[in-house]
Amino acid sequence: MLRRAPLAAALAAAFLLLLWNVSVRQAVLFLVGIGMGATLAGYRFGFTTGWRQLIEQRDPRGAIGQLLLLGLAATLAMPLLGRFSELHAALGPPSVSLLVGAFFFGLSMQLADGCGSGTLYKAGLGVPLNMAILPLFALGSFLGSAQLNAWLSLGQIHPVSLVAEFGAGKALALTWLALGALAFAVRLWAGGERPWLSRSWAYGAVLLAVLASLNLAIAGQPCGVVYGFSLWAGKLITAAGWFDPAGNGFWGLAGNAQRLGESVLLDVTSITDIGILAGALWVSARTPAPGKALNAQQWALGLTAGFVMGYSSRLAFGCNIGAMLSGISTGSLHGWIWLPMAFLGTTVGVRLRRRFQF
Amino acid sequence: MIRSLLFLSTFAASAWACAAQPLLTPAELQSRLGEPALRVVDIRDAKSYAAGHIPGAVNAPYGRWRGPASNPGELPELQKLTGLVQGLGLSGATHAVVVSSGADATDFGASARVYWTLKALQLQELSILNGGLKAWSQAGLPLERKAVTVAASSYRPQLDASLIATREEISGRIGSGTLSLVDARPPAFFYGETRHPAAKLPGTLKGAVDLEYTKWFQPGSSTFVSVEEARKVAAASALNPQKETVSFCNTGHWAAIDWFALSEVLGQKQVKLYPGSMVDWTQSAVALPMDHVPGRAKQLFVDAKLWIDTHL
Amino acid sequence: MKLNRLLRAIFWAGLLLFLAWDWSRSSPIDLRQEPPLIAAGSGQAVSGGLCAMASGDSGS
Repeated sequence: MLRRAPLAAALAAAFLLLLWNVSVRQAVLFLVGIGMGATLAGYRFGFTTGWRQLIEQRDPRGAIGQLLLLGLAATLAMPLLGRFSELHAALGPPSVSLLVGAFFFGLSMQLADGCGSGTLYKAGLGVPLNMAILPLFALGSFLGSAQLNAWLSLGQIHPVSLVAEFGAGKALALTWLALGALAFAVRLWAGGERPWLSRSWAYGAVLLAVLASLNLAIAGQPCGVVYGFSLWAGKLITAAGWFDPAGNGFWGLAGNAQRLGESVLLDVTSITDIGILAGALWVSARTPAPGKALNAQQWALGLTAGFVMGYSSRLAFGCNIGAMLSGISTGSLHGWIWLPMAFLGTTVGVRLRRRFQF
Repeated sequence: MIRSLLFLSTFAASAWACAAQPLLTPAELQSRLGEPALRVVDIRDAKSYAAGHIPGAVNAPYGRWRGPASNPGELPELQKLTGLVQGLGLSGATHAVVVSSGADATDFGASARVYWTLKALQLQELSILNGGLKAWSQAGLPLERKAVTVAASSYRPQLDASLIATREEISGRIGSGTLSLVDARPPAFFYGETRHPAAKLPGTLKGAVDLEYTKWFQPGSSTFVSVEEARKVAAASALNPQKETVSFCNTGHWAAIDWFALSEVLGQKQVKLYPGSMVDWTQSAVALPMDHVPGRAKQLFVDAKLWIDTHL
Repeated sequence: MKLNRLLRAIFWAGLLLFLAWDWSRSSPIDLRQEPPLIAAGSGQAVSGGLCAMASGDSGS
């Protein structure tokens, strides 16, 4: 059993190492990541579970909690974007790859029992399936990024930024309107008697919204999960000699090529990923890991789903954090396309879960 | 015979008179205001200039002589400087007198920097009004408010490299002992206790000696000391006047004062200014030799202090 | 479960090993180029790796 004191010491040491050798910004972002991991794990803030409960049990609390998170995050992020030109939104191009990727992400995340943030926090908590999925997720996302240009050639339009088009105020109003409409739809589905929200979901939403905004203000960009993993896999595969970044449309570009050569600790998304894992690890010292034993078939499905999740998240320009939370809260149209497509995929995924008796 | 002697003596006399005094008192400047070759260059901001300036002075705010915010000491491009100087009607035939507010010793640095820039543009007849406009007003001398326009000159200068020290030159010769590096900044900067916001590291050039710019002024004033006093200051500094000397600071502002003192007032040869100074030096892609660079903890502390000072 | 503890140990060991490996073979970090703590209001535009980007360079 892990004990909190040595764990705290280890985290403090990691923070100091970052502060000393990397940069103040990365060290503080590490703390923000720890906060996110602790919140996700502590409140069991699972996007995947929330959607599943809504569909199977007509329990709206998870979905409402997520909508609350989106609304609060947007309320903090959009004025920040309007005020500070150094910051930028998570702008992905609406494209064929987005439609395909979001759908399959929503589908596979149910079989993997965890989306982007879900896989991270559950791995940090010590759930075996999610720990095993992470390397496959990294591999999938790397392959997705390497093949992204081919997917984009199927069709894309320019990213649309609501804040740039309408200004922060109007963009926020539009966002709240759309979120309100979704909440109304959730309510219709769930029926009048059920409670809207529970404490965990509410507190989790508030904390995550604050942390996401801190990430935006400090790093200058909204938080993300997937890029870090694709970078780690890319470094390993390149070092093994199986991949030449210079010849690749995505990894050959200046920014990505540079990040392949420099330490991952300089990459914002990587630090967030490590932070979330560490934060969940901290929570695990007091909480037993969730999840039940799986049979071989379920393992095979789960691992495959993890790989597909990684691949499709790249096609969709992010997972639930990078595309949905960051996209919608910073006013990117692609986030609003991601959400319904992923939800559609999840309805299939939930059915597949039942089929294989997860 | 007599004609050629007369010619020679007039020539000699005018040549002797041509070498302008580096410093002029308000009274001296006042007496020369009528001279056709004289051009007073007021380097204050436009608002202060409009509120009252020396009769006949033209305005060229200090910022126009300097680099961008990321590297304020950087010398602007020759083309830009040529345009500036032409617009002020300056040429080899004019005698430029640089005037600033005279508020304090740091303000004198602005005049010294512009003086240096003009000399680097090969202008020969240069002076600074000692004590600036503060001394002028204190002497009860008149100011006027109407704007002054001058005919543009067609002066096409080159940059005099013998006055300008570059990063490449210094980094190539640092540690060889052939350069005398003079840090014009207060000890806090010299010893790495603090830094300029645009500099990446606290500390000074390797092997440099500290000669704070305030030493050249009467305490608490912006009046440059007499030549005799200046000689005493230089002697006390233990600098070697025979060595090639480079004066530097954070952005080549205070350093211009040390340069002015050594080169113009004391007549020392081979004195250069490193215009970009420590801001430029610490921004080099490759880390260059420095002294008194504090450890990471102290650096973070300095960063925090600077952040508080700028934001709160 | 003991197996779970083993798996967790392997997982974290793997992560730390990866980070150590990456540190050893990456270009050294020049602390002089360190970005300011808070990007907002710093005057320095950001260009980090972002999930939403389709290309190698993001933002302005």
